[in-house]
Amino acid sequence: MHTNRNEPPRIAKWLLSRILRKQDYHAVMGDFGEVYTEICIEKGVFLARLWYLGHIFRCIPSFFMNTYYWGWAMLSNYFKVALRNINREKGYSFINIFGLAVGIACTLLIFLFVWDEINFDKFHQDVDSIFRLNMIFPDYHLGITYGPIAAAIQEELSEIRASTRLYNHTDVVNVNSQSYKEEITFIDDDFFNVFSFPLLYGDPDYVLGQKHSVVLSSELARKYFGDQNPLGEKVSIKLEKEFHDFNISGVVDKIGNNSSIQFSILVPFENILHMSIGEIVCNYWGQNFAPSFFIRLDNPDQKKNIESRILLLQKRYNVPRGADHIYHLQPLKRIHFSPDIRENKQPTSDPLYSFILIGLSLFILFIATVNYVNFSIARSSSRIGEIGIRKVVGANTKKLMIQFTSEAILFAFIGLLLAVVLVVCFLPIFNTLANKELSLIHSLNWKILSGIFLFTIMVGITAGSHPAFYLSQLRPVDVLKGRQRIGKSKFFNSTLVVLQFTISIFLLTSTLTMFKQFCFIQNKNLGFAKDQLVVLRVNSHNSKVIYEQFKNEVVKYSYIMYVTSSSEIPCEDSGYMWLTQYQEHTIPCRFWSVDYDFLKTMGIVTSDGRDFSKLHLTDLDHSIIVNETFINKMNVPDPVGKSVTSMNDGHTVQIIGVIKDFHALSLKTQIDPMIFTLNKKFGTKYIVLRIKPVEIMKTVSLLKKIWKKIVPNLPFDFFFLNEHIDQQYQFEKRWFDIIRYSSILAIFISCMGLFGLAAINTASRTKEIGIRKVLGSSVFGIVFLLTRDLNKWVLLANGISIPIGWYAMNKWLQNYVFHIDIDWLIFLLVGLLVLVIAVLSVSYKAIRAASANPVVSLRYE
Amino acid sequence: MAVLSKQEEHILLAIWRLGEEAYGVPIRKYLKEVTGQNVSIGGIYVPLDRLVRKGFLEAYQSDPKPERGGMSRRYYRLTGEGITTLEEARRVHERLWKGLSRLSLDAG
Repeated sequence: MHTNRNEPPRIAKWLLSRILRKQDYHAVMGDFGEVYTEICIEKGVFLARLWYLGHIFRCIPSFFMNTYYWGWAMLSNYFKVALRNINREKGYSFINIFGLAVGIACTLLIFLFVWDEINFDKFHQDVDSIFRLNMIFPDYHLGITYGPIAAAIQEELSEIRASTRLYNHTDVVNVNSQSYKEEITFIDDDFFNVFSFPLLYGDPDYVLGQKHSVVLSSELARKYFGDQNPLGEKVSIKLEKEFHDFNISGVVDKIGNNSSIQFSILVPFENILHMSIGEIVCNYWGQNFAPSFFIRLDNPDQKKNIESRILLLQKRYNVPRGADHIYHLQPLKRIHFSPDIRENKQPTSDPLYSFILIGLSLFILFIATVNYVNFSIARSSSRIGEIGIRKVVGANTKKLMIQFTSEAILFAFIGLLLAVVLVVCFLPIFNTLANKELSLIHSLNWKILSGIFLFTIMVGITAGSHPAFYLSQLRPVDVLKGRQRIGKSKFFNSTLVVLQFTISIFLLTSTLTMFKQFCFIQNKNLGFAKDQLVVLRVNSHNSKVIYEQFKNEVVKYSYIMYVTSSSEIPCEDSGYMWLTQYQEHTIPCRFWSVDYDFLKTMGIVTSDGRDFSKLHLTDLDHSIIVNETFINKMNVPDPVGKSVTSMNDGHTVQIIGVIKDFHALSLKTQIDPMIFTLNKKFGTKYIVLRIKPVEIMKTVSLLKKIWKKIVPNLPFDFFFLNEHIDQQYQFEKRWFDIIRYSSILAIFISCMGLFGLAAINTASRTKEIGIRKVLGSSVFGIVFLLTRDLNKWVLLANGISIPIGWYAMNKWLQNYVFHIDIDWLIFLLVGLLVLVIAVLSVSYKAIRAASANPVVSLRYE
Repeated sequence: MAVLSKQEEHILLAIWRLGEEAYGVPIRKYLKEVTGQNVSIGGIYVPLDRLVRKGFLEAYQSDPKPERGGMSRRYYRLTGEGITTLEEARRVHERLWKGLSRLSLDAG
């Protein structure tokens, strides 16, 4: 202990050891120690320590002065020289800075995107203790919980801090005698104890808890009431059959795009019992109408415990089919990244896309960096004098490396400035592409700023390190004597160019393949005539009556060719899966309740048998039309007249017709066996009209007038089927656009780099070209000579990228059940295209050099 | 002939006087005693280094001393050139002072 107290302060010793040169360490540390001990004995430990510290700290400023005074002077000199160089070689500097700016801008955009993704749902308090209860079946996961289990958990597990069920239902809301169609979210009273959505109006402790109070989102409140405070106003919500009055007790502040939980109206859960499905949602062990269930625990470690408690509950309740699934608490912040969970009521995104985006932006940045590296090395002859002088005056390799690296960092920072401008300009476009609401200003904080700062320095170092190494190794005397050739592209540089083009070609082939698949999807014959179809959603319990009235009115007008009704519509609903029995075959198939003229309206072709007809009374209940896939499953040669049995209700029906297959879902999925019946047991959810292709808007307003006459209290909710079908590929289209833009950027920056490289190369061979011409070489021969290397590179890049592109695109196409085959023509075309672009960008300089008068080129010295 | 700065001269003299015991701590102590000025310990390494580089001094390591926490001392001794230079400096001093009476008497 005593000896310990006699030790000098540790921090001072450490500082001293950092400052000292290694060979001085022992002598100086020892001397300091001796004096320290002496003072200890004479004046006491405290003063000795003070003395020690004082001495050490006193020498720090001079230490820094000595190290950095000259360092700073040199640094400012480096920057001055760098700026002069930029000024002298405006063209190359522009290519460099612009390329880096585009690369950094892409990275910044992607960074904003990924940042937003990472912080998805993180705005809730204690987000780590909020979970969704998922059901895990052997083959799939469901993001929902059986209603009875949710109720049992709420009742019996007291250690849960708060919990809420969520169930969405679309229905009509009447406010101030206007009617709107809205998505209604049924929630439990604890909703605001589970999630932390800030309230614009109302007190979070009291807004819920009464049966007739609802909470609106701020968007909806503005839509209904403008900017005034809507507390206490009344809204009338239709729940299946009847309208019910509710008081507005609160308004939630704007819900960010980065929330999994999105809603417009929150209605207390008990109101769900006004609807016939309410009973099912609460008490039924079925997957079709189960709510999603959220739980907030006191701390995340309770998860395991709660899960085992739920398992016990499950056993006690003797759940039907209970053995085949278990419950799992999924953290709220993971929900956004689990697109493979079915029945996900919360929208998700595949983290794969974040990685793809990061990859794309790094590709572009890499291509820009390669330009910088190649330019610096190719232009090294212009710096050789400077390097020589610096070396003579006493710069060592390290100093030169610092110089050239800091020059690259300077370029990166100028690029950053330009990049910020680019980001500000292109953020709106990117937001539409990525379907986000990103904003540069709102995401800025010191963490991000310092991140960007560090990133830019890293870009500079990456771009500058190889040139710095190369340039600092040059020996000016050798170069000037001609012993060492400079600017000659070495293996490393040509590898970089090949990589650049490999990436560009890969992106380009992907773009074209995606484009082709995209055209294929949009133009594929879906098996029905999708144009000129207007669909009305009938959201009412007596939709059948409404349909009949509407039909009787509409048929009077010649604009409308056919009217029919259906329980499903392509790309919206695909119909319930029912099991059907034919002899020993059990066929799961989709049931559609339709009306007469359905086939005619949709333009579906029969391949066998007949359409439904009013002449056959039995058609109403005992006849069905099936699709070809169904027949294939039945495996009989002449299906018309055969009877099949529905296993769900034991009904036996007769096949009267067979239709050609049509795509009721996106082309990503198979065509299922389908059955069409006139029996309306699946409802009359849609009215479908085929209209004449003239005066379409006039027809629509006519329809609206008729609708308002028949059902004034229901919104006129219509869409064109073709637009609706195209919408389901929006996601694909967005990704296609993103890939397309980035491949254009990549190829553009690569070619700029090539252009610059060719210019430098040609300039350094001016004399050679002159001599060749004097000796009788043709222009073509010289151009060939100058582009020979390049052709080799591009061909090699083709060779590398074709297998990669082929593999990647094959994987991507597997997403679609209906897809194009990979087209070798595309690869050939892209290879040629890139070659032509590359040769063109080089030839410009080459042809100029080759066709110049050799006298001029030889006289340049 | 190299010209010594006053500080260098003092240090060389100190080392000459200390003989076998000339290392950092006693050098500093001696200078402090003689000049009455507090020389910081960090402040003597730079001139010592310089004198070694000029060839007036040579440094040698002692064996590690347990009382110094196992660290060795760096001792200094004058080289032949150092001695000649000191002698030269002394001669210059004497020539400069020769024939002058004491300043304090003049003033008095």
